[in-house]
Amino acid sequence: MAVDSTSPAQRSKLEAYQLRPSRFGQTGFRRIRLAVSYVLLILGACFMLFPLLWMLSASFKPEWQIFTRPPIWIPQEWIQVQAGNENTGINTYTVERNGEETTVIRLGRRRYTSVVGISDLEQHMITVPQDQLTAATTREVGEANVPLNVRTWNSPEGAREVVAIGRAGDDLAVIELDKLTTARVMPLTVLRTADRVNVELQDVRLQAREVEIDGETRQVLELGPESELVVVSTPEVAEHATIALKDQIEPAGSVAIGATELDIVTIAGDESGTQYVNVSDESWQPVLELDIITEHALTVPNAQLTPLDEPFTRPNLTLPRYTWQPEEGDPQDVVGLLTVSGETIILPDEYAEGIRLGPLAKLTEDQTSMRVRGGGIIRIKEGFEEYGEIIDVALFSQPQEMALLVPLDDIPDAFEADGDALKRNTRPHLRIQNYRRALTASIGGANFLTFFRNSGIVVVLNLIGNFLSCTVVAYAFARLRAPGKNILFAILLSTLMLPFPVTLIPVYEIFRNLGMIDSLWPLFLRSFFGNAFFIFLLRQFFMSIPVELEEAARIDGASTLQILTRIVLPLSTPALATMAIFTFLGSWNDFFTPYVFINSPSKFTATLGLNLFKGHFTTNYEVLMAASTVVIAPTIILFFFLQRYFIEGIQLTGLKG
Amino acid sequence: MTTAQPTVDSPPAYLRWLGKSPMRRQEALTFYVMILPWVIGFVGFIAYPMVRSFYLAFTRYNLRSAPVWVGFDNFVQMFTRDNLFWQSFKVTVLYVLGSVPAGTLFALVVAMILAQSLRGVNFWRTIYFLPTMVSGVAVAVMWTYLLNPEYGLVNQLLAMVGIRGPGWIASPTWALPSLILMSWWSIGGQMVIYLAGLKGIPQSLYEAAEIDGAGEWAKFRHVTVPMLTPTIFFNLVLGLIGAFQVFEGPLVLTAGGPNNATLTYVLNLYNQAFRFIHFGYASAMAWFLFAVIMALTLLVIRSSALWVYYESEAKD
Repeated sequence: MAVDSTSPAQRSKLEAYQLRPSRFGQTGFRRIRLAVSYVLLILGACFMLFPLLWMLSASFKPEWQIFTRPPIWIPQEWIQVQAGNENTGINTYTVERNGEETTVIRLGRRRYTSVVGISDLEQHMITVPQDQLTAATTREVGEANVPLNVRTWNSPEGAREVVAIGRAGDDLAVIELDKLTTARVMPLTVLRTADRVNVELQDVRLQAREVEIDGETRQVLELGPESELVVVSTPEVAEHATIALKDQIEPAGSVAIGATELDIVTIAGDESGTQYVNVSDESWQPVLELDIITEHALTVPNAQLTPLDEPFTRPNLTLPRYTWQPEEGDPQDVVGLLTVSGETIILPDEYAEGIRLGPLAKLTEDQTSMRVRGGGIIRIKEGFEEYGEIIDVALFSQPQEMALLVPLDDIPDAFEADGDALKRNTRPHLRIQNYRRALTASIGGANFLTFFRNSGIVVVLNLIGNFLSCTVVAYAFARLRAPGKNILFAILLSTLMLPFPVTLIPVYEIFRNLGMIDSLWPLFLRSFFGNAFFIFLLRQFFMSIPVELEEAARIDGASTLQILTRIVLPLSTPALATMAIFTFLGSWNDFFTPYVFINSPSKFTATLGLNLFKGHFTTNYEVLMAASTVVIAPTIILFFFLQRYFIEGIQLTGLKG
Repeated sequence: MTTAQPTVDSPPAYLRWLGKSPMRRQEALTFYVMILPWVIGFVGFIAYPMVRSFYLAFTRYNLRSAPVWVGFDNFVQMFTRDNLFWQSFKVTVLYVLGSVPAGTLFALVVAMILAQSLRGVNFWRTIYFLPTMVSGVAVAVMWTYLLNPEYGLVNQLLAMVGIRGPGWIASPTWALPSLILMSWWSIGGQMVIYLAGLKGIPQSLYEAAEIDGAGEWAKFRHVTVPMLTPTIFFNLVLGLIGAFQVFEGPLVLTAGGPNNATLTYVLNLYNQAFRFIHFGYASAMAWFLFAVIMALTLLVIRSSALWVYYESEAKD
């Protein structure tokens, strides 16, 4: 190992050694190794980063993008067109027509499936063991382009393409593809409403339907797959869109666009008799500016109200009116907003002008509630977007079933398109509402702000506790001499290996006897008695500090505690930073301790809160991902600022072997 | 120099064991006072609880009434009648086998790639280390979405290369592999340690090996591996202890299901204690776990003589 001390003469001799033929070709090998290294590194890095990026991206997505195939990486929002004068928009799509990309809106749709006549099957059906068949792939077959689920049958005589039609015990009954000439597509509505018939072909039971094809009744078998044809039209159609109460519209026949029949409706009481197409059904709910409600709405007992004959009416909206006789004072005419168990929230007539309907789609998320004067509870939605303006509103009465209609006369250019060929028209958009929802959603009377506060308290107290106790204990172990010190230190180290379940139950008993269950105490109290790992860490560090400084101070008459606080600690910033970081990480990310000791949501820490959220928002991954992001954000941010200490700390902990 | 003679300044008998000189006695007293917090904590939260839980392991106890001595009943029940106990033990052993060796290997490979003075070591190290910052609950919540059988990223990526992904956390067969996969995601801490270990190997050793005509492989085999074994050994021991106590991953990801496929030992223990209020039985389970971990650790330590290289030995 004396290479470092070689003389120049020796070194040149060594270099001569290195020019041996065995080293030939090593640069090539190095290059390959380097390339392989980078490929592996990048693959590993993808494994590390994709989950985090996916979580971050999902936290900014609207609900409909959570379950999409293929996955959408960049959060999007719909590009919509304004629906007439109504406060809502209609989603737009892009579809290819005559080789050109056109922006369209959907007017209606029809679902289809592929069928085949039973009489065509009889001679050709074969039963085949399932393991000789490949998985089905969908393909359009024949001149009629009928989509079918085609499988390959590896028969003893070679591979053949078949379509499965039914089950025969463990085998599948199949028909060869070229025998399926009469397959055709049929609207699902027609097929599903037709009479069922049970057919038996060579002992295979099949369920067929009796439908009318070209004037004769035939038995057909559903083969699948289902497909969809949609009727679309240019977005200009939305210009005259209007909403109407669902129970106010009356059917008025249908119009055929391609193979799809669109239902036509008229609005009851509409004298012009305009015919409409029902584009979508939605729910709308009466709303009013929040500050009008907070200032003027009142909760009164129903006994003080006398109904008035003339209700409060707005387009598509009717609310009851009453005369209200207060206990003191003059009677007043009011509008009834919401009646719940013997009490009604009322609003004097003069403030009711602005009551209107709002689309529930924009109102449902991030709802909270508040009490109006007199105690009644009303739901509110902050940040409701109305004609481009953002306002706070209160919601009341009941949601109304509405239909979004476009005039039939406007849609002469409507055409039919394959449902799969329609592409959503979207643009990148970060939906920060998810975060708002994650932070404000209240579960069990607590929300994430409470969880954060609790976690913060626990972290701070643990920092204080560990700092006060571990420094003192570690210094004693590092510098002071006393009988039994080594044994005590060995005991301290051995506690590091102790699995926590061993002490779990008695510790639970102790905290129970102290009356500390369901409080934050068990989460920080123990750190005031030192932590074996940090004591070890600090002791190692203190021992590496030259002892001369301390001896000089001692001669000057400083006490041990003074030496520790004035000389040792200022020199130990790296070790203290490591301890602080690990304390923070440990108590912020700890789940087990709070899970055992805490029951009420108001005492939950951030990790417990996240677990609670998971139970509550089971598949609302956009909210869950926002909540997770919020929980991990402090640690990640801290990591980027103090990266050096993190890495050094980890190395300190792992290299003592 | 006139040091105090023991005869002149004789301390009371009960202080004599502290040291010969007053200064040494003073120092020893200060030591005991300073470590007092730890001693109290050790007695109160470790030593007493250990004794207590050892006693409770032989009792039936529901926290409300006093423990009832039942001898070895808890252990007999555990080993002979409780299928759930064996199920959770099996799950945990499989988890340890799946997560520890593969995780160690993964971390080692990454560390070794990074150690060959590539560009941007700090950048890569940050990426690999980042997941270890994330709280276990957040990791599990995140993976429930990633492993969604139909729309999860994992299966969608698999579908892109033509593989039909399994049901992951929804499938009894694949739930445990999901958990293991999740554990591989957090190997960054180990990786950083190995990287530091590799960087700490003196360059002179490699130079010496080169002079002796060692190729890349020989250098790896005879310098890198032996010099790194103490680090690997240490992390293996800690990894084993940690993996045997895995709790929040299976709790949040699958709640032990489906069909107890991810009911790990500590999850089962928690349920026994805090859901079924079988505190005695749970204590017995805790001590069995302790015994298993101790036995394994001892085994690893014993075996370490065969494969761990300590510099001090070589000097002899």
